[in-house]
Amino acid sequence: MISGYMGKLLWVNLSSGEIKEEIPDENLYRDFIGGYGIGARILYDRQKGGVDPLGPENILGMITGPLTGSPALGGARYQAVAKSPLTGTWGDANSGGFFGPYLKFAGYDAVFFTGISEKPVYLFIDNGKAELKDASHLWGKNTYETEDVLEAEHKGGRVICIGPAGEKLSRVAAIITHKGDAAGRSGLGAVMGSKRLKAVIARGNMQVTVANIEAANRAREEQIEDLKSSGFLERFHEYGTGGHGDISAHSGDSPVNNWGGIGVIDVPDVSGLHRDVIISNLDKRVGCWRCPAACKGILKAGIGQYKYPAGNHRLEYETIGAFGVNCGNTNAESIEMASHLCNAYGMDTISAGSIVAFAMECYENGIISKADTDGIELTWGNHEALVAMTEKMAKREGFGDVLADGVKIAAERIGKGAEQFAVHAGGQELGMHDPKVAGHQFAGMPSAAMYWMNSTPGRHTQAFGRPSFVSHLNNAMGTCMIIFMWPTARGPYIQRVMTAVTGLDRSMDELLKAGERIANMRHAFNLREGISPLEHYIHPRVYGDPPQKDGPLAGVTMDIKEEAWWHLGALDWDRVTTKPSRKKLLELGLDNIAEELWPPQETGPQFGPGS
Amino acid sequence: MFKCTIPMYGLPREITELREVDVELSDGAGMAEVVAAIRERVPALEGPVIRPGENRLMEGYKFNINGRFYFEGMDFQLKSTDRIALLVPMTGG
Repeated sequence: MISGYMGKLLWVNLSSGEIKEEIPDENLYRDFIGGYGIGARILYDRQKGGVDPLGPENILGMITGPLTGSPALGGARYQAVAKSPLTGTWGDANSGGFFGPYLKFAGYDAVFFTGISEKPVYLFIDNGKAELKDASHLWGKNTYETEDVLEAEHKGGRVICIGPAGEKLSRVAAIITHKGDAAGRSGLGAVMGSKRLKAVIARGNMQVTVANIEAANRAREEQIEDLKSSGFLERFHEYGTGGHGDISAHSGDSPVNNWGGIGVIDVPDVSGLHRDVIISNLDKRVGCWRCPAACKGILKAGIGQYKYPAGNHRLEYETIGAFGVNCGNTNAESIEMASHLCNAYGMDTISAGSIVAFAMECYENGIISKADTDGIELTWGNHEALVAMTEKMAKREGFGDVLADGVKIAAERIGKGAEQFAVHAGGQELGMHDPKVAGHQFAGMPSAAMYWMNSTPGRHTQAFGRPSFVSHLNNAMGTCMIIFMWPTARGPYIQRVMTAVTGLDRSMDELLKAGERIANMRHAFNLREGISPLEHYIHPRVYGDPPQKDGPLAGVTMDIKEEAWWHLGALDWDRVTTKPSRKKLLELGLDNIAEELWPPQETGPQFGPGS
Repeated sequence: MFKCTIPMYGLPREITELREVDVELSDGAGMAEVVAAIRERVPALEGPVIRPGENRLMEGYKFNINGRFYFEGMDFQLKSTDRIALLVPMTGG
């Protein structure tokens, strides 16, 4: 077995109750590394195209990487995978916390669920053994309560779970761990809810083998030194990603007023989002498993207008953006309350905040009124309305039920021209980074196409095109894209740490090739669904059509078709159909996909003069 | 020569506490001249935004001129009718 891996996958059939282990071929690990790389290969092979994302044939997986639970910096992550009920495409979501390492300590690299349970259940994985247990006493409980009950009952375990939003099949439902670390995107909480799977808890004392522990530890020490000497570690520990909400609100980074506003004009005073306000109610700083940055935080109970409980997580940037200036709101306390509701009920904050912004714009334009919104006045910046509607969405109550499946579906339900305000890409709400301001910098050159063309459209953390390979590699390794991948004096550390942990001495080119293979695998899943990313909808505000007239993005329109054309060429994917070339698929070892996408041409008798 | 008003966004605004900076530029001013003018007008930007001792932007910073981005290494010829702003690199999470 290659070091870093536990060498086992767990399979749970929720319809029959059967649980079995699989020892996969080592090539699965070599070629696809881990995380959603392995997930994409397995789902492509074991499920057919066209399944109902909320039906029994959709496979739900939770997968770690070789560096999860290892000395690698930020090696705490796992990904959830399934066909997405929000977009109908490939779906994945990435989470920190402790569950990833604990799944490995329990003996498994991954756990996959098929079928649908008759009754609510949870899976208890205990040091190499797994058991489905009755979860009827947990069904209906929020994620905090669920985690508390299960971790008390199975001491030493760590939990991932859904809240009522996932149980009620909200297509923006998340899978929550550590009471606020989310596998948020792609609506995978609804997939878990459709299976009546309330939670997974893992515990164990098995070791993650490391091929060269001295080298791995040395790399870890040097990387920490590098991050300290640049000042990054301290800054990140102090504020996490919550440190730039006010700066981003005015720099062109954050979308404003449902992607249609300009920060410096529409929300001129953003002092309410300053980093010191964001940490003003902090109780303590916490982090993911073994991370020296410990960039997260736990708040004391809210004592102002919003009485959230103690233990609420300090805000992350995406939440600040989505419930902040994208709703014209600069009241940090209200964002903390909305965040708590999303974490407790199990909803993705990016989508939830974006849905509220959409509803606000519909309200401001008379498409919906108080009669529709249960009396809630959804005006820009009305933070009380924001919190009230978030709670309704989380519970699927009243107008919240209309909104709970994302902006695209909400617009279809509302009609009356609401779709003009539904800002999404391929059905998913977008991350809180206006690609127009990044230009060449965020996802490589060029970048506005990333939301449009990503295999999970609407994502901002994976880039598109060749720049996505390192992103997929990092995710598949199970490391944090911030702390492990931050530019440092002696970095990057990828090749060094992967060699030290796995014992496989692979060049950076080989590792990036795995990243490219993963990009092609996710894309092949979508092609089999009949989905080409060029046909995804993307709201014109995202690429600046028409351009803003003022502010930092004045005059900027991104030519996303040109960008896509450029990237497709670099990927060797057809510029019309987006099919990877046969040559590219064979080069990547994706022979069966090459045969499916490029079946041999039948040559029959030649008819013509003289035949 | 013409007077040019350059809006500041994000970190430059935070450092300088200025919403915009007025500089005097010659017709057809290029990247180096514009950066030099800002550097002279707002010394606090040297280090975080402008490379110390040079008339060059730090990595990631850029100008938005009439909707097009110009990074260090690129050049332009500014006219009095052009609209220019100083933009920061994006941060994530």
